[in-house]
Amino acid sequence: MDKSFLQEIEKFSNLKTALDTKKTNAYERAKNKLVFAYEGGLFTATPELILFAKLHDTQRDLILLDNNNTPVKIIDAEKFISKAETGYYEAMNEYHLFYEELKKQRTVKKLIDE
Amino acid sequence: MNKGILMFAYNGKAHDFDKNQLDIDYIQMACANAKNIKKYMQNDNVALVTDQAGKDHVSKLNAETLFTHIIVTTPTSEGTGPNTNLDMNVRSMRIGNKTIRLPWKNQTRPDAYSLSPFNQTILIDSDYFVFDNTLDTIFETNKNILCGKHVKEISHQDSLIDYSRLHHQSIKLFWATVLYFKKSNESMLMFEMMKAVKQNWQFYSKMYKFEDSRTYRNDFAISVALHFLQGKKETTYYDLPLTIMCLADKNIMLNQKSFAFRYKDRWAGTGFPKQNIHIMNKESAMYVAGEIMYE
Repeated sequence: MDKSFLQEIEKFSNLKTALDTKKTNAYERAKNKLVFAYEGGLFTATPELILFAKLHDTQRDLILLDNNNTPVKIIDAEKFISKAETGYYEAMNEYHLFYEELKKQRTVKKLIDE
Repeated sequence: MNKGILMFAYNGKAHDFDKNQLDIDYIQMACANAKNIKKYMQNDNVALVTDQAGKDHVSKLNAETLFTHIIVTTPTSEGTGPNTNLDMNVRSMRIGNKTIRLPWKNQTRPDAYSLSPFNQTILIDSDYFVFDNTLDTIFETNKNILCGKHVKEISHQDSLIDYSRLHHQSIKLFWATVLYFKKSNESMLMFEMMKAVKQNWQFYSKMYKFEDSRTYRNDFAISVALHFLQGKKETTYYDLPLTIMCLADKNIMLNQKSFAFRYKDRWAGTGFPKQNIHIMNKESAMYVAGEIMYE
């Protein structure tokens, strides 16, 4: 196999590692930002949680498990949904913007500098 | 004051194997961190526990105003065995390619309950740098204790059992790097249990299979204490629902937003989106602290 070809692969692999590491850390940052508090419970704003809270039968009490598996009664569903949605959109918009910028960075130097 | 952040900082001198000396300035790290807490967090009361030399150093850095409280203590040794002796508890760690040995004055951490001036306290290591407001959410919990459980290293090269368990046959590891507690009987019991573990370090190190650890570690003491509080079971009750991002001591922060890491026996580098980070490489922690202080 041609040496320059292997060097090209190596260069690509290094760039991909640097890109992926930066992206993973941005994702971890977004995940931490998804955590919000309601009535003493700490929840992660996931699409599933938001949808379930929105679609639940209003004739029934809405009890949700927080991140520590503690059941929390959601007294004001609208406030809960608003907090969850705010957290979700903020975190995901920020992650998306970051990712769009990341896609333009084509060298390891740019990934480090920008 | 009801809510605030508490840090412990005692400066020390590290040596490498060529006997070169390196001053580890935990005080400057704490000052830089207090400055960032004021910048990024809503709950920005910060208390510092240090010794008289540490307090003098804060004055020298003109950083008194960054703290709502500076609590001066004289650390004393308790317990049996070298690990709990202030001058003997020496830790080896890498800083990039070098290995250094440094005194680890971490034995006063179990006193945090009585020393904290706050009702609700987030106790953080001075090398856990705050770069966002995610810790504010934790003050809204109704739990009495939440402790760091999920840890990821920012180069994502290793997945170490050391990050999740005291030993592969032992209990799960809690990270005292970030510890939330509310003044309550439950948290008082936890700190008393930590003291008991510290005072009987050799016994508990055999019982929980961490006798290979040559140093007293608050992470281990708190893991045992929380194991007891959970009824000697593993639950998620005390897990802090945030991931603690950390830089391993073998890797290097280039500045606040980029770092170099070992990759296939070479150095690689990439950017780092600003977020809270535990910088275990002390040289890097001091560099970042300097950047924050003088920016």
